[in-house]
Amino acid sequence: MIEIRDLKKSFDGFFALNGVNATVEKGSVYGLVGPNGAGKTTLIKHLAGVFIPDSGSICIDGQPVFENLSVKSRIAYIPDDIYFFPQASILDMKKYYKSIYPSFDEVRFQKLQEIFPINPKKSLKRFSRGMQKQAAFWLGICIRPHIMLLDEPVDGLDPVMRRKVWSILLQDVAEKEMTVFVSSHNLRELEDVCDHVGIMHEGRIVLERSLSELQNNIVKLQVAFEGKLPEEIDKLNILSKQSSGRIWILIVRGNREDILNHVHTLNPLLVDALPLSLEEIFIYELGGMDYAVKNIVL
Amino acid sequence: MPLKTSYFNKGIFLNNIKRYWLITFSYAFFLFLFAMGYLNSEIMRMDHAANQNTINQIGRIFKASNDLMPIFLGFYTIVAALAVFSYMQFPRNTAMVHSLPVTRETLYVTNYLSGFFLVVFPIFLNSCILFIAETVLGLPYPNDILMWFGVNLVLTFLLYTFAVFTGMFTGHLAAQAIFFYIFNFIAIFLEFMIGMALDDFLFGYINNRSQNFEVWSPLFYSAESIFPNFYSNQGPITAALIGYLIAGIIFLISGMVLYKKRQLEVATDVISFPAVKPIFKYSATFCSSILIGNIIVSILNMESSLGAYIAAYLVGGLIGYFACEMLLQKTFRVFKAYKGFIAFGVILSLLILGVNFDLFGYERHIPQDSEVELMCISPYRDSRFKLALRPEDYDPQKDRYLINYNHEDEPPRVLTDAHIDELRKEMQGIVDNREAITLARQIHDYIVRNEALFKENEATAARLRASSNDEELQNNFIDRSLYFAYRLNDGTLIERQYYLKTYKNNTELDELLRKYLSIPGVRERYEPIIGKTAADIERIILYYSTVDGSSNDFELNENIQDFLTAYQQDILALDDPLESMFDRPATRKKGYIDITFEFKDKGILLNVPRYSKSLHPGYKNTLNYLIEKGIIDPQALPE
Repeated sequence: MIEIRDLKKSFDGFFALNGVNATVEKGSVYGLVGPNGAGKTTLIKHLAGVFIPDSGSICIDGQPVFENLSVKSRIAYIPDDIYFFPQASILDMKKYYKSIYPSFDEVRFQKLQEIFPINPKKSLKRFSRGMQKQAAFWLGICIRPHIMLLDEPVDGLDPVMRRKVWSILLQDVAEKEMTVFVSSHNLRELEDVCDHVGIMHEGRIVLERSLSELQNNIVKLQVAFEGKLPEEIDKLNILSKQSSGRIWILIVRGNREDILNHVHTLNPLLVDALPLSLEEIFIYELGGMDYAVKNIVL
Repeated sequence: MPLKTSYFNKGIFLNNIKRYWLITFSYAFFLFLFAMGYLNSEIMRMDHAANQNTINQIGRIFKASNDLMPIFLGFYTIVAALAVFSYMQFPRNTAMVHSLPVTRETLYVTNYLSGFFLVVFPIFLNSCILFIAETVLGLPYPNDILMWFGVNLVLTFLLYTFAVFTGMFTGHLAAQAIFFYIFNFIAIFLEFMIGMALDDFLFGYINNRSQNFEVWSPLFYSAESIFPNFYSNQGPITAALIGYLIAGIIFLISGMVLYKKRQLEVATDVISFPAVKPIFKYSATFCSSILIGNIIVSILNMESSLGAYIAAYLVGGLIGYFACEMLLQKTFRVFKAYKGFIAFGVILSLLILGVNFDLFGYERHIPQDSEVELMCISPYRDSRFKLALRPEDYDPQKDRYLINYNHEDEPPRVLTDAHIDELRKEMQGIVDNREAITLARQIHDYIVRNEALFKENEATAARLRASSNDEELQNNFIDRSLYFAYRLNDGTLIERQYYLKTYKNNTELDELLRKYLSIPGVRERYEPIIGKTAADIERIILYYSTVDGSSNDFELNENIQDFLTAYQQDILALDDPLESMFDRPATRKKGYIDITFEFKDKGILLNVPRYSKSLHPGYKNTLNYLIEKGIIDPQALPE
């Protein structure tokens, strides 16, 4: 289990992390979403033991991460901007990782060669960004990590490769209770794989729920009334209102049943509860935090 | 599998060697070329072994490598440090390396050792080759090679460790290399620049490179002392090498402490520790101030203007200050930080004014009579005075050009008491007479008290030069150069030198000097010819130029004693004793006679056993003798 408590980190007086609290259960896939500059990469670098926190703590299975070999040897970190040694091939990097990670699985490496159609003898510098990412996954998976930290992981991978990669990762999650902590702007993809989501904004995790809880806690209503929208509707926690003729689209936070019951008491001509995608949840939740989508006319 | 407690990771070490083998290969290759060249020259020397002096052969490897090793050391140590720790300076590289299950101590130690191996292995390999070759070929000093290896090992350790250490303070590869070279030369640079400025600010200041700072610039010191003078100056060099070893250990440990505390997000920052930023900023501002300031003052030729100095230094500081701000803030919009520069400018201006108005008492400082062991006043400054008054500082290599010795041999390693006595006797003007010391101090005091007068004379003479071609008017001013050197009872040497412009009717200074020269025994210290006999004279040469412009050399071989007696009578009968200290102003347009006596006893100092003077009509006996003997034609002489 990953536990982050009141984590703070500043760069030249700017707080990139300003009291982050989060809990990630073992064997879960935790998606971290947030606007650019929210502090996602900084948080992941703390989880990987790269950055020294200003204050607060990060523990994995009760042990601090920073400079802790037993913890770090169970973590694989795949950043957005991958670095391999200049001139190194996948085989060179494998040799290097093998000398550092005691758990490196040579048999798995050989097996995965079928999945990743890249020449392991060729210099990685000559590969495209997507192929380099494949190499990073290939090597990262062979470490047999307990925790996989991914920062924009599938950026650059083709759709087939994305599926392959996620399939292997989720297999490890299911079979070996590997925890995946993933930061991505591809919310559609996260929706498919994550069981927990944290929304980060201005150095804090402002919302942290299981995906199903998150989806149940916010409802998109399509309603129509005789005449104008009744005032009693405002008793709901409405995040957004839009109308098209007599049809209103309302984004309402709260329990789905309670919301529907309340709307029915107002005698609507039409009421329909639609599911919200993660992207919509992200937009509407952050909309309440001065990060709304605005119609800008240039 | 790496041990958890181990500070060494074989995988990282081997990976570094594999990635950076080219460094070690190229270094080994160039050293091999050098080794072959050296062996070749040694074999050729062996062919002429019978003619060789054995002493000269010791340390040949040091001398032979002097041109190359400082360059190799200065280049390869920083390259190796940059290579193995380069990941620190790039965000994605450092993120990858530090996410690995390896502690910072292990990373530091392993990377450090791999880099050290890269630069030491070529020296070790070539030392082995040279040692084996010298032994097999029967060359005389194979142990020299071991010593050479040891010296290079220490220098490599210091320079490489320092290169790594500088990397801890920055997040920029170029800055790391620049800092490495700056700190390697900062001591001598500052000494030179500050000396230049003080020379203009302080009345009597001697811009004399002390050489004490060389040791703080290891690369410079290795080129200047260690390699060329290893055996002949072994004591100080061994002490310096031990110091370097200790410094290297301190840098090694400090580097590790800094590496552990280093925030990795500083990659790409010029300075990686916030506490160091103001130190960097103001140090660089100061250096820029004196460098650019001195250049501006020199170009504008305004060394005598205090205002110009302050303005030029402020301009230099301004450039340095805002350049640093731009580097630190990574933006050109840094002018809001002007307050720091104002504070710097005020402090710098006060410092310059303080030095200029002798707030620190340098100009006024004249040692008390009782403090002085011996001293001299001389119209010129010469490093031989320093040697005579501070023989403790004698360096056989650096001072070899001052000493008379058989060039087949090495110069004496130390100066004996007999050497020192001889030295002090040979150098003109050195006295330990208490009366002379008291009066010399009075002369010195007079000069210091009248600084304003001399400077005013200087300005007036300059104005006259610029505004009038009247030579007579200009000749109203006489240049007097006076060098004072005191050796105090505790061995301290105090030196001052004054270039004084005196008005010819102002005789106060000249009267004091005359009084000084009239103290019994003092004038003789400026006239080594007094007391000599024909037996002491090797030869006497006349350089004789006539009014029509033709010139002749003439060597006097006969009746030397008669000539000498005539000359000695003239010397003591000259109206003005000042002529023993200063030559009469030359009027060479109308012909002249120069006379040089060369003594048989060569003494300990090079070039001193000669004595030269320009004759003038005051040398009546001498001129009469030359005319009587028909050596010179009176018609061809002026007046």
